[in-house]
Amino acid sequence: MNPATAPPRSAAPPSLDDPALRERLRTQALSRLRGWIPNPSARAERADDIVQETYLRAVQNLGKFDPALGDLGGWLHGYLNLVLMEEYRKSGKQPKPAEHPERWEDLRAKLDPNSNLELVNDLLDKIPPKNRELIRMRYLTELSPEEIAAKLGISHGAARVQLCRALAQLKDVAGKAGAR
Amino acid sequence: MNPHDRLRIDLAAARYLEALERDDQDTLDELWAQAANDADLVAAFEQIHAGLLEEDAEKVTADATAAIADAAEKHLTSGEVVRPTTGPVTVGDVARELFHHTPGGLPADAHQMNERLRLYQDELPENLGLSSLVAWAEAKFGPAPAEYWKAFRQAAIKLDLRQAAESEYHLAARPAPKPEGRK
Repeated sequence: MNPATAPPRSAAPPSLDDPALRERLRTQALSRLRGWIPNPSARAERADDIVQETYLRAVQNLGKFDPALGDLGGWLHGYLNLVLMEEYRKSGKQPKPAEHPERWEDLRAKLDPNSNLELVNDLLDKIPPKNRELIRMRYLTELSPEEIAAKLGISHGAARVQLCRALAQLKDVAGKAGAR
Repeated sequence: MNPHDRLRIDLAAARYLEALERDDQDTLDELWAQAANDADLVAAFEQIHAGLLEEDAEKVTADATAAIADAAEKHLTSGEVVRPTTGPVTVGDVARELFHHTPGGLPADAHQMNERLRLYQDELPENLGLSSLVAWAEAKFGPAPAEYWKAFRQAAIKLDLRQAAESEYHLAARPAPKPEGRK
């Protein structure tokens, strides 16, 4: 057969076999299962099953993947989220809806680069120094989470989690100040 | 990434962590729908997963260490559990050290004072010279026999040196951050 007219190979794109991507999916499954399966070894076993199921569905629907709409990692994460949602429903646990979700939008307005810095500084004074410093490094010094991690001698993941917690605390403080 | 994008990603990531910790599946679903076409958001979520697993691993290690230390303290009463010092050396640290390594010949009131000091979390003064340490300690905790303060000072210097050595070790043993871009 002339190679130019040969049909494309049906094997999955190489990135589907990427072990780093598989590991990232497994990490997501493990962290999502923390609240439902307290036993670490049972959780690890279930996470492996869930990642396996995710790949199975992805391979079955590979024809639907459109690289123009996003990368393979995001697409696989979408399937993983679906499998995890099903798992959660099966667990019979009651969801805990967010408290005051509108406060995130308020915080976005307050931290907007064009907003009043004095107001932000007032709020920062109301949170513990460690979190205040994190927010300052991120929005005043404009460091990336990776640079913050290097500065504090912690991992990128730990820096991101600490930054998220600092923002959540700022949101609560801003919400309480606004409610008064 | 411009400042608006940075704020958008950070707030979505913070909402994501809050939703993860509350098992708020609807919000997680909504955020994953947003991330479908946003590689920066996926990367931020992945950092959160890695950070949470790291916290879990640290908790497992801390729990196991505490369980072993408790068992050793309960069943090996002649032994001593040496815990790494995490902050400045306190009066209580020194008194506990003296309790485990008591010099001979201390009078009864020295032992009473040491028992009392085990409960104090006051940071030691910078100057550990005998006369200034005795003046500081007696002003704070009351009088005690001279031989007690001498033993207290020796134990304080020992802990101070041990802590300095541990700090240097932890600095040297600190893992280097992973190069940028590696997942």
